[in-house]
Amino acid sequence: MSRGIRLHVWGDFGCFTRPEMKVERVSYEVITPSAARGILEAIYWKPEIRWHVDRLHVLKPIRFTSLRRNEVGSKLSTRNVALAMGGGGRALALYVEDDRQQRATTVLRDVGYVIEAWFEIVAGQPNEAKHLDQFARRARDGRCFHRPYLGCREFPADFALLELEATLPASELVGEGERDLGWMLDDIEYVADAEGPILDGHRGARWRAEPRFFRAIMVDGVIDVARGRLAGVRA
Amino acid sequence: MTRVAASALGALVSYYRRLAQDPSQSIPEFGFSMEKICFQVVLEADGSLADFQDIRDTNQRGRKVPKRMEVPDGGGRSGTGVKPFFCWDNTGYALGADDKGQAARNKRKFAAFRDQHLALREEAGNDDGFRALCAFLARWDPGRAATLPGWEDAAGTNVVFRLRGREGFVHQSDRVRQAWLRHRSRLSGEDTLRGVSLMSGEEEDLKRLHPLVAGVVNAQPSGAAIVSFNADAYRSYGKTQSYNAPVGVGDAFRYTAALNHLLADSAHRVRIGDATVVFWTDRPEGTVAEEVLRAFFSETPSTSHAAESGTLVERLHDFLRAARQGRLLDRIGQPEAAFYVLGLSPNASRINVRFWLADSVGEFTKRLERHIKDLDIAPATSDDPPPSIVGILDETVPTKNGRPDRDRVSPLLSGELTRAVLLGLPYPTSLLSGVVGRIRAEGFAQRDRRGRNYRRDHDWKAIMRRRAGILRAFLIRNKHKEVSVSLNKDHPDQAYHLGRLFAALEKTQEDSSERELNSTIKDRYFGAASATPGAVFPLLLRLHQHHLTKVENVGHRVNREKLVGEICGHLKRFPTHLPIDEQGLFYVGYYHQRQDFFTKRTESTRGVVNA
Repeated sequence: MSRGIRLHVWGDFGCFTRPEMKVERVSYEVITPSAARGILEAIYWKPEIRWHVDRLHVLKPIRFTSLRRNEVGSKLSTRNVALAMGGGGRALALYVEDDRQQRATTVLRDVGYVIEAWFEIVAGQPNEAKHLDQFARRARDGRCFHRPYLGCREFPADFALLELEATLPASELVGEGERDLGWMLDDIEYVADAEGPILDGHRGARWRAEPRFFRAIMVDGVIDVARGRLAGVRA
Repeated sequence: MTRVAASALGALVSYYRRLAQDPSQSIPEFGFSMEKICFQVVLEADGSLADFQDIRDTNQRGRKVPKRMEVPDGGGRSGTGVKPFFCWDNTGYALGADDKGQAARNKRKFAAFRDQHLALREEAGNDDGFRALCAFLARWDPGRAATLPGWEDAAGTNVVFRLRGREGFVHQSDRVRQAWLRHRSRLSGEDTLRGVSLMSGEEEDLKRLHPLVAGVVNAQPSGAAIVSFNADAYRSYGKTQSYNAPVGVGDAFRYTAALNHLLADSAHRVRIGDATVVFWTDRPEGTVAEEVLRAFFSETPSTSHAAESGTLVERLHDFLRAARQGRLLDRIGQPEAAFYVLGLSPNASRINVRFWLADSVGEFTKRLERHIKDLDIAPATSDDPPPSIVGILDETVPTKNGRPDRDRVSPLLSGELTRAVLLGLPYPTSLLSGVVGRIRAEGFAQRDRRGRNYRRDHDWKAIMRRRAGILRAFLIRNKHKEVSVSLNKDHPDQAYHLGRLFAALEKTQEDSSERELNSTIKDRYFGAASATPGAVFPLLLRLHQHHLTKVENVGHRVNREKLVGEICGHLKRFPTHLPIDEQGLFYVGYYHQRQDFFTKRTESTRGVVNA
């Protein structure tokens, strides 16, 4: 597809958290389309485009490791932040020693993926070539708005653009056949909801977040996300 | 091709479905739970009391144990509210009297129990048993409870109801069960949020608070949850509690019922480090694999313990021997069956999934065989089974009261070791440092002042053998060194020969004195010799000359000199330091040489035995 790109990403650790085991984090076996989209958006995104992930290639064997980290148990309230911005309210602070929570994490080690994706123009001029070119230039130069990460910000990703004629890096999972990874989180869809908990500050609209799932089936290291969506995303 | 489930919860739901279809397994259906019941109230058709009987089982030691049976699930009680269960409860609710003696409160409890059943008389009234129960409750006076036969034992325990002449209990009849399920869905009105479940992909009613899982060691005794979001920092997108991870009501029940079932069954559960590990296969015939893998996780009791487990122990030792010879797969059969291992560790009211391993029985068996073979070490005639995972962890901690102090096992090490063994990965480095540390602190294996066993679980020779085996396995797998099962005089690494040298020097010192020595060079220099050979060995060689002159037998003296000469032939110069993996090799060399000294010599056994 002329709007399609292929990006090779890799890193030492990756944590694509399963929603059901989010507190004591356990990662999915492979990258989620949502995380892949996050990587692409870190490299290039404008409000006029929306990325869609088509296929994911898994290059390295799936290996887990487990760590424990000291984190905190609460978040600052947005009301207090707003008050402080307006000049009133108490001092904004979170006392870490009073709020300790130790959480265990099961992360993936030594990961490598190729993301096949395309973008859709949702607003503005329909010049795909311009956007594609900008993405390609930025990916080649290693430029990004913020460092792309593999699931969680503390696991940075390295990336390299695969040119049109370039061959895919060899996957170590070739010959493994078909492996069913069950239902995986595809992405979050924001639905307009007048009583929803998510407030879009600039426009005053309210939203509700709905998770979407797809059937992930990995064949020789390749996950066809588009087909998995058709196979039964229930919305 | 094995269809191995990828997610832990998904595999548990499949396991539940398999158990639900198996008539020999007692797993509760949706809306019901397994509870311990002690007594039954037998009623006549008109509701008068016919009998009050003890239905407890008697265990092997002659004690009465409550019967576990499936009853309508009341959902647990907390706090001081009054919440009656349906068709079963403790005597405080069901009969209005118990052993705690709070008469006013018992009156309220009984009233609530009675009213709940009378309110459902319309719905389930066409069932004889239920009608009798309602009639009984309407007329029952709590003051009569003390006159019931066996009341002293029964007060405060759980009771069920039954119609005289009928087979089952009141709560087991179909009509009562249907009425209960309808009543229950009316009660739980707050769980009506609908959404897509992440387990089935279908739109379902979502569960707000998942049922608790009981049986994880050191977690909250009343139960803890895997899927739980009990602090602000864990919630996202404005969602509360378990709506953060949408799971349908049915699936939430199924996976927790399956997990509770596994945790209650000691054949499916072991404790490794701080984690409670459950394991299961997806085939009914796969139980042999479950038994065998249990042996690999946890120490099998030695035959000197319980007499009745003698045959079981024999079978397990047999499996371990077969593993050493690479024939384990033939014994297990069913190589394509999927096998799952789930390690859960507690964190206050939450449960952390420490590891989740899912693969075929064949793969696990191959990896276990490789692990067992690597652990093997001289003497080859030893009948001791190789150490289980728990046994390996025991060799990394100090002793307390004669046994290894299991509370001090690093939780991370236990999880990583289990993963390494079952997935064929390199062992964690902390295993090497743990075992080497113990060897240094104890002089290989600690003995008490009189030279006898310091630990109560194994004798010191067996402990030396285990530790040397662990070092060998580590060096082979992580450092890719060729370490043989018994003494190898042509080993390429210097550290190995340094260990041999130390053993030879120590032996000379022992031979040189007729009396028992209070402390040999081993007690003084063992640790330093392995860590900083350059500083220690010149001194030891000088001492050796003195010891040699005091050995009376000329033949021995000559042989010992020849041996030391041969070993020194492999050394170039004494290194100033040895890194920790070479220290491990040092200890293996020491152990091999010691074993060689104590091996009976015949003409045919002379020479090198390489594994």
